[in-house]
Amino acid sequence: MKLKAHGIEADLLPGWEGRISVRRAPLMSDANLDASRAGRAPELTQPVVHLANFPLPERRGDFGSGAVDQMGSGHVLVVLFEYGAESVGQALFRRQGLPRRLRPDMFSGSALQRTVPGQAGTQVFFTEAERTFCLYVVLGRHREAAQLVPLANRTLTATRISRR
Amino acid sequence: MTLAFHRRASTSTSGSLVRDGVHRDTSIEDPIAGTTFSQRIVRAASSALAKGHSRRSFLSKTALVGSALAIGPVDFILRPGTAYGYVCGSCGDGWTAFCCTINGGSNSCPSGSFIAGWWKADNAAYCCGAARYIIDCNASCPTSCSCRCSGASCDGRRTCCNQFRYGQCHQEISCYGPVVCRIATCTPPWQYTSACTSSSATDNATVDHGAQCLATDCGKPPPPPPPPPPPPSAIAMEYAALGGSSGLLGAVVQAETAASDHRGRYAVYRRGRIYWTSTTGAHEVHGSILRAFSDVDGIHGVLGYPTADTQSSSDRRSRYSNFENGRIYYWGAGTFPIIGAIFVKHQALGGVRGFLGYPTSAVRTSLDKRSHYSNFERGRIYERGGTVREIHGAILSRHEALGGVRGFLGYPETDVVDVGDGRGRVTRFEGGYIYYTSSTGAHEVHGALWDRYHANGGPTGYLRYPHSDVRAISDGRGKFSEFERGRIYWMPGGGAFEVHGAVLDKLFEEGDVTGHLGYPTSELRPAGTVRRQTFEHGRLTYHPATGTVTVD
Repeated sequence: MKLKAHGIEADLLPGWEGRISVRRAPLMSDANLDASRAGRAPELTQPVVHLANFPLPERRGDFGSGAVDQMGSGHVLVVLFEYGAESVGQALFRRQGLPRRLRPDMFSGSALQRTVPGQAGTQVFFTEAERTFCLYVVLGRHREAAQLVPLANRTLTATRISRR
Repeated sequence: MTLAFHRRASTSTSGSLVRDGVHRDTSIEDPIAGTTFSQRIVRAASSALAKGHSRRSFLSKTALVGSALAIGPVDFILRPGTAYGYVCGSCGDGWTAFCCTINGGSNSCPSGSFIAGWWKADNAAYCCGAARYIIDCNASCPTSCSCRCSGASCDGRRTCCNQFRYGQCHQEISCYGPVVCRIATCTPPWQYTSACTSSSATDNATVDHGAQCLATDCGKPPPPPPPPPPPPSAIAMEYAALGGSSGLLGAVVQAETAASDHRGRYAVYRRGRIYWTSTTGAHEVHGSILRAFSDVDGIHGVLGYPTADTQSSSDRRSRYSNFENGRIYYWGAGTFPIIGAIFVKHQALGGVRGFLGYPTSAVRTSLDKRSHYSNFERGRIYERGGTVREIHGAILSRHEALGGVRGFLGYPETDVVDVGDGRGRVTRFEGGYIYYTSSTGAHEVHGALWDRYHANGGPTGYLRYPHSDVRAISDGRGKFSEFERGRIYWMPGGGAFEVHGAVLDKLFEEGDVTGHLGYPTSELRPAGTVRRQTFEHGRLTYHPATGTVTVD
């Protein structure tokens, strides 16, 4: 099965599921109205990709809050979070290209949005196709990194980002 | 505030990780992430020891482990700040503390940290329903803060533990340390600081994250503390004062509820009830008094709400309950209410200690529907059209013998009153009078006979008190009343006249009014040296000098 939206394609591996979504922009929020009046940039919502080899709950934070609570042995969560065009060229996004060769030593139990005992994560900020992203990968069991990181890499290999 | 960062033994940041786009400061890896043999030992020891132990005992025991191992890396890892931070993370919620809890109350990034990213939670009560923004303050590189609890216990969140970056702010800075703390604001971060972009990340699960030092930020004061629990109701207090379920009233059958009159409340118990209004207070009614109360429609009837608990009378003969418009007595003859104007009258006459005594009937309605009345041990009180009268004793008996209120006398228009001569009493009725003395008994006088009696002085005149009711004369023509000192005769068209003394004796000798003289047609009047009284067919003359009466 293939997911394709907003210039992002992902071939789902057997047993995986995913979503490519953009949250509805709160155009009429006070903040956006104020920003519009002041000539400032309004809040921008960007594509977010969630890929997982376990059932994704409907209510999830962009960086996997809610989903990570469901994770256990053998589970992997892959998040791609996109930033705005103004981020292109910034130091944080110096790396070019979506990482597809993650290594276990890139993961840490402290590199998590929220510490969940036993889990490990990593963040990679990168630029591809003049788009800036954060790749965030969570392993359900840190001690299974040797088995789970290749699963993440296979999914990343099956994911493509094109110009918008 | 300047954070007390303590850089650990430096492990060089992996250049390959940076090239791979991993910008977290790997020199600050938390023991959680450690995978060395010694770290695994410590983690296992920490986990085992932390279960069910206080921080104090935990620290002492980890110190013992450290001593036992007595090797450098383990000693380093087992420093309380580090090891406790690891364990604390397992008992906290895994999130980083708010800046105001670690930065002297300031909701801002402490020195040594920078704004590195943000997310929002929608529909936040903290922001009056608008979005709430959480801005991460990540440690600057090189960092040396250690993972620890932000407060004195594991209830607090952690600081310097999560090496995570949202990434919308200060994108010109690539290296970042762990999140030191979080700023909570209702101001969009890209307006809060130009260092942030407006690329939105959302995590609504954090909408209610709070800290004591955070308040709402929408121009409204923090919500007031919840009101104290309401005091027990007056009914509840009355029930408790009466002993609750083991007391007079017994167990609750129906909880306190509002009465349908929208005025009061009541609760039902096994052996009684408690009624309450703001003006009467809460009072119990039970037993046969409650049944009598219900018979007159309870609080919806004329008695209204109870104004006191059941109490004993001073003569010890009864128990009674007071109500807004009356009283119910429970005594040897039964349980009877006294209501409204009749109750007021009864009280004015001395109540149960007065001459009427205790009630012997419920309030009754007369057959003619014109009145209500209550019977008492020694009398009765009528209430009719706002007028309340009592009659009692022999007068009441005579009145009843003459048909009561349905007889020719009708309703009493006065109470039984003293005549004022020290002897008798009288009651005026609609159709006549009843006079009473202990020697004459109670007898009625009415009509023209009473008019003459009254004109001649009534009971304080010559005739004194009647010792008969008005009687018909055997000829079918007239009537008479017999008094202590004479008679009054009446015939239709002829009027009523008093006959007494020697003249009356002579009249009897001559055959009374049915004899040849007939009915009197005048009073006894002076005529020179004599007194003369005329009759239909003659006259009688009284000679004072001799005391004789002659027929003329």
